[in-house]
Amino acid sequence: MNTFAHKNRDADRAQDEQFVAPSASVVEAGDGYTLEVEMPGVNKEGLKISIENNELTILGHRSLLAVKGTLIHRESRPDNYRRTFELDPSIDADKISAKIDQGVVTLKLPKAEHVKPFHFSEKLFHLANCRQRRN
Amino acid sequence: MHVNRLFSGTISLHDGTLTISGERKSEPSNGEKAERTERYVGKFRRSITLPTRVNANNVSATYRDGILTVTLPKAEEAKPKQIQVTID
Repeated sequence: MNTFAHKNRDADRAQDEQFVAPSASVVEAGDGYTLEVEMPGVNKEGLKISIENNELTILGHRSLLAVKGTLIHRESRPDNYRRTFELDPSIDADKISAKIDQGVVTLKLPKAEHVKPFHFSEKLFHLANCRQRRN
Repeated sequence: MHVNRLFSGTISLHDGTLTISGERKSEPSNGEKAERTERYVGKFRRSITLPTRVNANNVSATYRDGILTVTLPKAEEAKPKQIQVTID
């Protein structure tokens, strides 16, 4: 066996950490979105949320307890969680808030003030916009 | 086992089989429009046959960071024991 090639593969594996994509749900209300992400084994210390160029990335590091005894069976992958979401441009990134409870992260993504639904006819609003653009 | 909030569940032990069951209910929606959901909502159930006998009186469980941990100590007779050999 080519031991040199084997060593390289181990180094590559150490650099590319494997992640698991957590399950998510999105609910839209009139003034914003609620994003829920499931990351069992993650608490506040292991949670990292960042935004760059309209992309929201959620990273969850699992706090794994050392196995006391012999591991007989494991179904859950011990990998950390990571998922990136593309944000609707109507979302006000400065007003995003997050909380975590029993491994479930809940993010509130409010829409910017000027994109909230208007109460007068949509058609009227659209026509008014078109006229303004032509000028 | 991963068991998340908004659930009601039962842990039971019978005839050497551990059963965890419950239900996760969806959030009450007040005129909201669901865009997309991947998270499972509904009843769940899992049974595990234990390889050795356990002491049912000393079973404990904790629920932390969304993970349920059930600890089942082996029954006295199931623990490995040293047997003294006497030679006449």
